[in-house]
Amino acid sequence: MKVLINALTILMAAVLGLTVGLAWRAKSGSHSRSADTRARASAPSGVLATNPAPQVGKFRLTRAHDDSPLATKLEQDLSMSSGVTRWLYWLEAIEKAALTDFPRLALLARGNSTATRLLAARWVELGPRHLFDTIVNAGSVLGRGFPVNELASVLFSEWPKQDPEGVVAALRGTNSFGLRSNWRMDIASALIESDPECGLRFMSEGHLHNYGPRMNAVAKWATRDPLHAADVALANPAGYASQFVMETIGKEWAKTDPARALEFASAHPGPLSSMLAGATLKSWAARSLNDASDWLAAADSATRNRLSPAFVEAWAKHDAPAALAWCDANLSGNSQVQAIGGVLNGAAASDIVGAAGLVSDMKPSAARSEAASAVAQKWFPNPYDGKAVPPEAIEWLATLDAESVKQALEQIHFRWSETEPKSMAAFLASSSGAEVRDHVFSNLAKNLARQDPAEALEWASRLSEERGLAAGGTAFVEWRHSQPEAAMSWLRDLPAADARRDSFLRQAVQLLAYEPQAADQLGAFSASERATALEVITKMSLSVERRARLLEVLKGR
Amino acid sequence: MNHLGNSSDAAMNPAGTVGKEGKASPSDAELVQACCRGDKRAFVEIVVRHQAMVCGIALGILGDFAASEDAGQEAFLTAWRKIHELREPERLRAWLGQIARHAALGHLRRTRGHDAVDLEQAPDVADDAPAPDAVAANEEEVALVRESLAKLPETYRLPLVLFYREHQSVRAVAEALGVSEDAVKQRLARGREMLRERMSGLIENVLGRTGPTPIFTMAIAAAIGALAAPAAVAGGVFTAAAAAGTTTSASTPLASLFTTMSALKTLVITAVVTVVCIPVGFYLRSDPESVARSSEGTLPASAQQKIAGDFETSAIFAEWKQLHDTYGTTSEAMPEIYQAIAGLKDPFRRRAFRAALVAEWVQVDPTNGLVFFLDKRGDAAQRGQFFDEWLARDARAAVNTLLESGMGWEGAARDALAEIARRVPARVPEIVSRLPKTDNYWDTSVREAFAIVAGGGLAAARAAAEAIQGPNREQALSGVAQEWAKSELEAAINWIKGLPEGTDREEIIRAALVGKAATDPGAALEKVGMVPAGGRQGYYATTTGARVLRAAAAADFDSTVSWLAGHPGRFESEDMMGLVSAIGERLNADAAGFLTQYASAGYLSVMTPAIANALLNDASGQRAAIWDWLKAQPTDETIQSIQNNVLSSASYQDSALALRLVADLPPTAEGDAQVKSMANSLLNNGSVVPRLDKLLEQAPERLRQPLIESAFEHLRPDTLEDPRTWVARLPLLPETARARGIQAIVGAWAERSPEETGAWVSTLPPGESRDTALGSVTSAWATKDPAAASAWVNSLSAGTDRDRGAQALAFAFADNRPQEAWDWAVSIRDEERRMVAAKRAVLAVAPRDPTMAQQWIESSALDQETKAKLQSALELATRTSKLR
Repeated sequence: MKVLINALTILMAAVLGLTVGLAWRAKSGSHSRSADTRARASAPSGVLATNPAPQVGKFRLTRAHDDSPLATKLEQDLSMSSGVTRWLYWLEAIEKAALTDFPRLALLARGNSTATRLLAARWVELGPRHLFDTIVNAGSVLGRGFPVNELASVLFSEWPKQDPEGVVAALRGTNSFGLRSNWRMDIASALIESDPECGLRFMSEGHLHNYGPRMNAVAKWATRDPLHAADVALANPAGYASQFVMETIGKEWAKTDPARALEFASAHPGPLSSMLAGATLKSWAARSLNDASDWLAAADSATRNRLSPAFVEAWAKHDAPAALAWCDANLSGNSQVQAIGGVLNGAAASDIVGAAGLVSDMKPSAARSEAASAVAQKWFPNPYDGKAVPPEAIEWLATLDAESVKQALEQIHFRWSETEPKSMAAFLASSSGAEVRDHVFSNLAKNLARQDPAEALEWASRLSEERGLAAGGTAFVEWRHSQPEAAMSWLRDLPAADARRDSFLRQAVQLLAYEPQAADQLGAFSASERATALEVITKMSLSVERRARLLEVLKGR
Repeated sequence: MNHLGNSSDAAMNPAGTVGKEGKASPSDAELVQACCRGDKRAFVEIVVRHQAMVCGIALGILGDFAASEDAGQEAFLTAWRKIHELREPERLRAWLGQIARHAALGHLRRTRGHDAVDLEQAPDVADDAPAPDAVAANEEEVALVRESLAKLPETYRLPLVLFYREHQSVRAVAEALGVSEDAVKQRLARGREMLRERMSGLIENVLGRTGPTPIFTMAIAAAIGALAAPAAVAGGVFTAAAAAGTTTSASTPLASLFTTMSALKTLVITAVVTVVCIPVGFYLRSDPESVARSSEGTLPASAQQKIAGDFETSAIFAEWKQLHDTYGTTSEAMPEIYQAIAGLKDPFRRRAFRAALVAEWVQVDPTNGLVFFLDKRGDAAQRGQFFDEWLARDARAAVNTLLESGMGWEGAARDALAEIARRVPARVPEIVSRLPKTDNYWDTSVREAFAIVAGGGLAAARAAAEAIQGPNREQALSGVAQEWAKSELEAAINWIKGLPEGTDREEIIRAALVGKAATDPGAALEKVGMVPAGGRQGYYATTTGARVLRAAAAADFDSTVSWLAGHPGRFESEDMMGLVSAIGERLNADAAGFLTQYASAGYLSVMTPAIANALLNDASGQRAAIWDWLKAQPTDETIQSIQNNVLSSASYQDSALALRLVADLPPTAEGDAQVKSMANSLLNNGSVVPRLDKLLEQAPERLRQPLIESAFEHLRPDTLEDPRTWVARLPLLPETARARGIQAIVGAWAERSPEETGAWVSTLPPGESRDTALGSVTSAWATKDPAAASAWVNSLSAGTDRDRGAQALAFAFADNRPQEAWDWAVSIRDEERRMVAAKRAVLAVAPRDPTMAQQWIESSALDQETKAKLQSALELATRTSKLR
């Protein structure tokens, strides 16, 4: 009897425990899934095969309501397969999937870029609008784990090829979705590649002015009907893209009827037409210098002046001295200056050292400055090139007259100060720099201070007083942003008579006044610093409310 | 747990036994036969009977309790799949022993491969649950036992472990190992001798307490889908477990237990059973479909048979098979199939088959496959998939082959570096040393790989990073610092400070701070001021502050924002870009909810720079929702600031929305200022002036005038298009703004064509506008072509126009053509203009050549009063010049 009672008691306990467990799980909902399970399902084949043991030792949380039996089955199949078999399961599932299965499949593919791309491509084939709506709502509905970006990347590269108008309509009809500005670039890029006319309209209407897509399809479009292409491009201005499009049309049109292209450009005055004309003439001159030369000689003086730089640039690629001589003989004033810049552009493209030599041989003049600027832009690398500044480029720049250095630095100071601030600082310190504009120094000071504030301030202290205060102030403000205590401590340690003390503080306050937490920061100033800040802020153009708030802080303590 | 009796019979029951209640339990052979009929509960019974032996063998080989259970589970799953292959069911126990040995050895191979850098430091990411040994023995005991066992040869270690795990049954051990009972006894004796007596006792105790639990059994049952009848199975498991004498039950037979239980014991056991059954119930409820599916599952069959069965009706599989029937499955067939796939018309099949082929190629002939994909015949994605598949399959071979493959290996290695670090960390230093410098500023593959390596073994990773020379050294050191700082920031920083001169220590400290931010955002944020801003101007969010904020916000957004609010001025706007991604994500999920939450916490103000950026980028689609939320808020500086950000970002990127929002702006001076600002933004500060007409068509009345004025203000040569259009638009400007409009047209037009501009200016009615325009066009023309400009001014009829032109020329030439400037100045008839122009010429030349200026004045035909004024200006300029 006791056996029976004890057995029954334990059985009851087991049933009670199971019931509690069932209820607990039911309450915890069906949405949570084991990340481990998902990760394993989407990992490359072989992962599971080599280490299956841990999986069975865990509780696997899956959804109580199965919204995609196909995905559930795939998940199970993947968990028990490896190598090519896994892919066959994937292919089978994706081929059989209905639109409603894809969100679950996408979750299953997370972390496996090949599978994600595969199912996204299929999803686009079957229902691009469904995928579009899914990713638009992904932020709020599917949660953070949904591979939105990967799917969007495939959608916006493939959908425009299938249905350019459809994707544009979808975008117009949706008021709110995340990452739209990035997606618009993707869509624009794909549209231009599949339907340049539609792409240009889309970019123009959507204000996409700072994006330059690839021009392969535009070139084909322009080959087919350059006149129509040019008309469309003019009617749909879209910033950089329009510039690239016009240049591409010019290159293509030059192959068939350059004179007609130039005539079109003359009939539609404006910057885009000038680009069309320039690209056409450049391309024409590269192919047939004499024909292009004849056309230019017959053109009116305004046209000749405007297009000469493009013409001589093409010529200079193989005979820069002759092109230079032509400029001297046929042009004057600003037109000559611009054209000589074009010559050096062409020369530098084929022989940078030779082009630099040409500039060195010129006498100081506006033309030489323009030429120096053209060569410097080709010789000094951009930061994203990952290259060092060639020492010979710096040596060459140092041999030029002050005006040429000034003009060259105007064009290259940003990239040089990014790539090698120290060599630029040394260059400026060793030259008089009298002609160089202040913002060149300030920009350099900022870049120096980001890496080594002490060095930046020391460099600024070696400049002339006025320039040193301006550049040093920029360096100080930059330093104060990243290391406020150290910077303020340094400033407070300066002798009272040091002009930097007041000047730098004023510059700091001028920027600080716009910061969201300006009031808190000003409140931490010393009494004398608050007095200076009060003086600065009183003269600043701030909103009434902000000014009042800051002054209240400064006067109140 | 007390040993209440000898359990050896229950633990191994090859022939079947009769319980106290007279019910015969099946033999092993009968259980095997039942399993072959698909009876999963029979297999659970097998697990219960033999789990101690199976895990014991694994423990003897692996020397690690947790790993032994992993290997044990693997062994049972293998047994379940292959049980139909067991030809002598009565030899089940020996067969299981063999499988267990293989599983453990396989586990050992894999583990050694993974932990080559530092086995002791490897984190256990596979399972958060306490290791089985930790449950029943304290750490010191376990460590001692592990160490002692490790010193024994396997010949003696296995019998010893099994003996205590099998509850001191020599017969059970002999059967499991396939040796005689005498041999077991000898080995046990020798093994004991090899251990000191004190240790032997401890080992007995610990081994006895660390056997597999019912949870182990449940895991196997779940894996084979044997939980269709939950109560029965669970009951069976726990009943059997009790009979097996594991940690949760006594070792006496069941009936005996029930009979001898006291009331207190009953209560305790009842409580234990209840608690243990809760998670069982949780599991059973969690996946009814999978249980159902599992129940429907077929009997174990070979993998190939299963695949063929699964794909019997699949068209895609049929096509796949057709490809193989045509080309074969050999190494040579792979490129041919690849080409055949490239010829498929259906893009889905092309992509799909290519993915499958990559996986198959890895299985068939990875070496030549790698050559194929490195040889640019496949794209980077295919190359990536190929190498990932190979890494998963045989990481060592994959890495060796890649390194020996010659040209093109660098890209594949860099792409897969993190995965290599996870699988064969010991190879990472060599690869990194050989990798060239990356051109990509954003590439962090080396840093991330070294962080992974350091996660597996800090000391070794540190030594390896320090030994690296070449372009990747700092990234490697940064990876170590990043990982180390997660747990010991100060120690990591001290190490960084001790690195040799020439190392960019500050950059490595930045990496350490980023690492720390992932585990303790506040501590990392406090330390950001240790180093200068770093990063690159114009490169988005690359300052120290931005990088640390990004990591901190990803780890704990709320505490990060709270810290920022409490530390005003510690981060500036550029730093705050580190928050944009996190904020964008939250705005996209629930814009109003997010703003409400952080506004009420008082944190909105500090986030405004990041919100402004998110409105232009990550959360650009949420402007309308954010605007609606803003409208419902009482206005303050923060709300106003975000409002302005919505207006400007919409104006830049979404004119339709911007035009709608105008209606919501108040009819106040502030509202007017917002409308004006929107007009500027809609025209992108002038760069899209040509789209003015389109905007005017759609714009509400309140916006039209500001749009027109803004367009004129922003006219430039490159936005002018056809100047006559702008001339026609002049009447749209209010009277007071027309003069400025004329100047704007002239300024832009003259840059392009001063001749045409001059001609147009000549048609303007006399007055101030014409006068100013004439001066502007002359100045612009003089800059472009001094000779032509001079000729044009000369062609003007004497009087106001010519005087104005001459004055403009004098100003334009003053710096570079001083003599011409002077000549033009003195040619002016109007006295006042002449005086102004002459003074400009004198002042320009005075610092360089005061004598020349003196000569100009003295030799001119100017009246004495003018000469005196000029003389005075010259003297002042000379004095000032000397002072400088």
